[in-house]
Amino acid sequence: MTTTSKVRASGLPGAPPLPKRHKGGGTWAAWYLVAPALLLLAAVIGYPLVKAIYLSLFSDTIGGTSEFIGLGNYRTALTGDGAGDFWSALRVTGLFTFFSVALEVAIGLAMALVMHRAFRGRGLVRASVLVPWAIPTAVTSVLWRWMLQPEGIVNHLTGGSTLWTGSQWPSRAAIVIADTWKTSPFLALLILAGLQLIPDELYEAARVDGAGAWRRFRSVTLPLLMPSLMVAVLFRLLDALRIYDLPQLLTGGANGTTTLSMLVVQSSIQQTKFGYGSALSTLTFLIIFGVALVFIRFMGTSLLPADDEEGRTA
Amino acid sequence: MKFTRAACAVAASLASVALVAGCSGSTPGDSAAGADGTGPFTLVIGKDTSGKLQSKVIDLWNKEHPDAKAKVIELPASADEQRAAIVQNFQAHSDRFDAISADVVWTSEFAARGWIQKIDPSGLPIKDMLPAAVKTAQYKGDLYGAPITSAGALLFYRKDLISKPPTTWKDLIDDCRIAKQHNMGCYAGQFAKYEGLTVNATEAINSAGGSVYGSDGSVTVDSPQAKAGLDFLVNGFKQGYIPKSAITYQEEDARRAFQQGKLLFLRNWPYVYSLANAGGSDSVIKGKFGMAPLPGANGVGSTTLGGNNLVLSSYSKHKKSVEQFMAFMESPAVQRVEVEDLSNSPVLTDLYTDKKLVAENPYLPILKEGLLHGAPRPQVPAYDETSLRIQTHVYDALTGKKDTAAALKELAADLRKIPAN
Amino acid sequence: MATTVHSHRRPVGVRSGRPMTARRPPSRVVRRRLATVGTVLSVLGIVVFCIAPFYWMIVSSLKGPNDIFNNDLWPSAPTLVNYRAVFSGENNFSYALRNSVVIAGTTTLFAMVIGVISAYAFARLHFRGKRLALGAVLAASMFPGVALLTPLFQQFSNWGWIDQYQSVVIPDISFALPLAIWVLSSFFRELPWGLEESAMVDGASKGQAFRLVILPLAAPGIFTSALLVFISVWNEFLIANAMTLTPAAQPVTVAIAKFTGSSQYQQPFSTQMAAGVVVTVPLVILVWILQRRIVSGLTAGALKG
Repeated sequence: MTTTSKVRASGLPGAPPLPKRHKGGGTWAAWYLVAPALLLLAAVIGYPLVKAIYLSLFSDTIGGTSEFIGLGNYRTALTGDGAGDFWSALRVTGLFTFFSVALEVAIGLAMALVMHRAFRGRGLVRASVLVPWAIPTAVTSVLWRWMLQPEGIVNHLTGGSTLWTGSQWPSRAAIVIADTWKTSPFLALLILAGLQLIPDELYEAARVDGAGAWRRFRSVTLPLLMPSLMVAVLFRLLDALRIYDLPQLLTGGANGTTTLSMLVVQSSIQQTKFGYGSALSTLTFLIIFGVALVFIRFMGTSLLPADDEEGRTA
Repeated sequence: MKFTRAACAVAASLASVALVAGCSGSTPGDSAAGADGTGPFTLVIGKDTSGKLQSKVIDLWNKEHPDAKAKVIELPASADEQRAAIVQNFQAHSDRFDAISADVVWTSEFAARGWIQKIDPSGLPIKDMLPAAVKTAQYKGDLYGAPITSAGALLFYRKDLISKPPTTWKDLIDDCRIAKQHNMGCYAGQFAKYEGLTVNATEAINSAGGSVYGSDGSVTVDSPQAKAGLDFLVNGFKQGYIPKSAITYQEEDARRAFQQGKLLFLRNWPYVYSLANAGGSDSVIKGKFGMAPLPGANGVGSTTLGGNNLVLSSYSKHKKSVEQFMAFMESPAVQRVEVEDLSNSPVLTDLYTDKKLVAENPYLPILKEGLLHGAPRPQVPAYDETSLRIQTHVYDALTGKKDTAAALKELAADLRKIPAN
Repeated sequence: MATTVHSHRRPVGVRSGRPMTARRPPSRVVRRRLATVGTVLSVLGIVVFCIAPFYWMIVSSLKGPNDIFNNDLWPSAPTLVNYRAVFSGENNFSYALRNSVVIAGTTTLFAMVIGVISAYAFARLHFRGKRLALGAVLAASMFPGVALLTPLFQQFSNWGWIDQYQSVVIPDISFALPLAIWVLSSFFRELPWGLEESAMVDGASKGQAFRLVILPLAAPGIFTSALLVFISVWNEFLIANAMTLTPAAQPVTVAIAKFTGSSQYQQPFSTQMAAGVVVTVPLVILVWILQRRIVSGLTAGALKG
């Protein structure tokens, strides 16, 4: 999928800014408006982030004092003793992210399109779509672990004897399936809200012009949906890249299912190795940052407006 | 711009309100400090499964010590989350936690980090306790806690199918043909990749005369004895006397298989006894099973010790009262309550043969035999990392990714790289 | 793919009349029937996909503690014993429910107000550093959540905030803000802001125009974001577990983590499932009602008015 040529060229990162029309006061008013959000984020997330970067430069000891070791922790993670774990976790995280987000977009889109149609009992469908997303994650993980036991309901109904959490690909499939089940509704709700923004008149016009259902979807729905869809996918990406609970509870990381966030928890929380754990957190942050950058650049140019973007109403 | 300004005002006030919002959660601020180290304190425990700790133990103490009342703080049921909460408070040097009921495997790390106090053994009935339980509370020869509960594993077996439980692995493997005749699995413990795998693996290694760390603290997990021990489990998967599905088992999955008649032998904790004997559709083996000590390479095996030690936070302001409370928790009366009302195993050796207790918990004398042969898991400061390494390499051996010797060799190399140990 | 539609502008000269059905060729009727069948099938598929595991959750919650290994699709002896256990004294569950409502409600309120204000600025105002600011907001969603626990705990502990609502609410607001701001500003950008200007030409102030014209149009987006924020806070565990030590401020997720069986090894599966049902069902019903009453009301009103 490429987003359209019609997207404002000024939205492309690196594109030359449009000539400035509004100067001075407007900027300050806008900064006042966004200040509360930025200050809060700086305090709650920015401060720990900076602290983590600082801590990542120190060694871990038990009982002794930590020493400044420069980038030593990063070397351990990338090329040293931790490299095997790190690169494998990166691959696994990427794999989970790709498959679960792809499935979730497909299923979420289908859910949203169905929910958007008018039919009797639509409210009920909307309510049922909400259910998987509304169940607390802790409960979801227990539920799936229980259902996927060798003697559990899934094997019972399918007559299979798959060891869902006992070997590599079934484990990975189990995690992707459970994650897709849980978070497709998130995408569905966001996409539905995007669909509701599209004026009915456009469909009517397209219909009058003789466009079939597929054609209407491709040339009316999808392009107009793109901005909301891309925001939804972007946030799912960020979340999926930090996946922790499901693999932890379903497999404990066995059979090649250890993700980056699990490594972070293992070192910073379980092993109380703050230096190394902070280095892993920072690396995870940088990787996700890179993915987001690439995503915005290639998929969602409309996501990030230019600094001096022109008003729509002009 | 009127609207913008109004919005700014709203936003600014929101930000300030957010900072003081909802201060209605109450604080447990009992800080009536006694200069001599006596005074009220908090007792931090995992979730009290019975709900009777307060009425049967704490109320008793509080009645006798109105100036040094204990206030219970319950943490989540999962050991990982308990540890995370305890560590958070230690790191913040907080005196919110005074006495902590800590999993036996945390003692070494907490002691090495200086988070918990050395305990004077003269105030505690050390010689009346299970030696292995006392050992779990020691670090570098000093006592860092009062063992208050112990735990050991049992071999559950189908007494309707075999007359006499096996005492060695060889006997057990021989009995497996009976399982085959009945088209059921033979033996299972807990082999999913989690702490339970460390327990099962160290148990097998210790039961063959091996060890993970020697008494001098050096890594010994690559010894022939350790290999013989782990081979009992590896061969189980290879030869089929352990069912394939056991690689996904934690305690509850294994109990499920046993209770549904799919296993001849089960390695599990004593809690299975009452559940497998309960009514309902969950157990088809009610009244059809017996219990024995775990078998080993040459006779009774060595169970891995679980249980909890009561430790004293270095940041506590009322250490004296906590030490008195420790002695109270070791008293026969309280230890009896641990068995009768709290479904735990006691640390006082005599209670395992107490007539009244045995009548209700017939596994106690069998468990005692196992516990006398039992051993703690590695007593190292970096326990979590050690356990994770054990899980990784043992899991690889069980799933056939590596052979036993290679897995143990790599495990030993990894363990030698952990500087803190 | 080619897009011929400007996302931000309504095309001029759209005809509002519907084509008359009589003119349709007969094959259309057949196609329409097929489409109906397709809709029914996809609706069924979606409902089954979403509800099947939840159904198993309900069934499990109705089983007695000694029947949980049973794979029958309906419990042979349904019992409410698990629901009674959830609300039994020692679990403090009703208190935890109250805490969850307070925490999720407060967080949603603050996050939405701050989010709407910021999103308005990002979507409608022109200022230098906008992209940087939006990027910074997004970056806040990229740091592993567990890495925030220790520094925040130490800070809040120093301030004596542990076990108080704000130690959970403030981090939760920050977790919710990036999504809220991005979703809302992408929505605001798609709105027909020409209507706002028309309202102002008709004599409304900028504030009135925003409140009376734009907000109702944005209602689906605002409602959806609020819903997503509310549910993610409702389900949040990490922060709540770290910052609350006693039942005073503990929400349901932490209360559920404290459920146990008769021993530490027994997993109280059916009780956990009952708790899951108790926290999910009212939420879904509430959303269902809100959606019908508020959103359709607002949207309809705006379009008519």
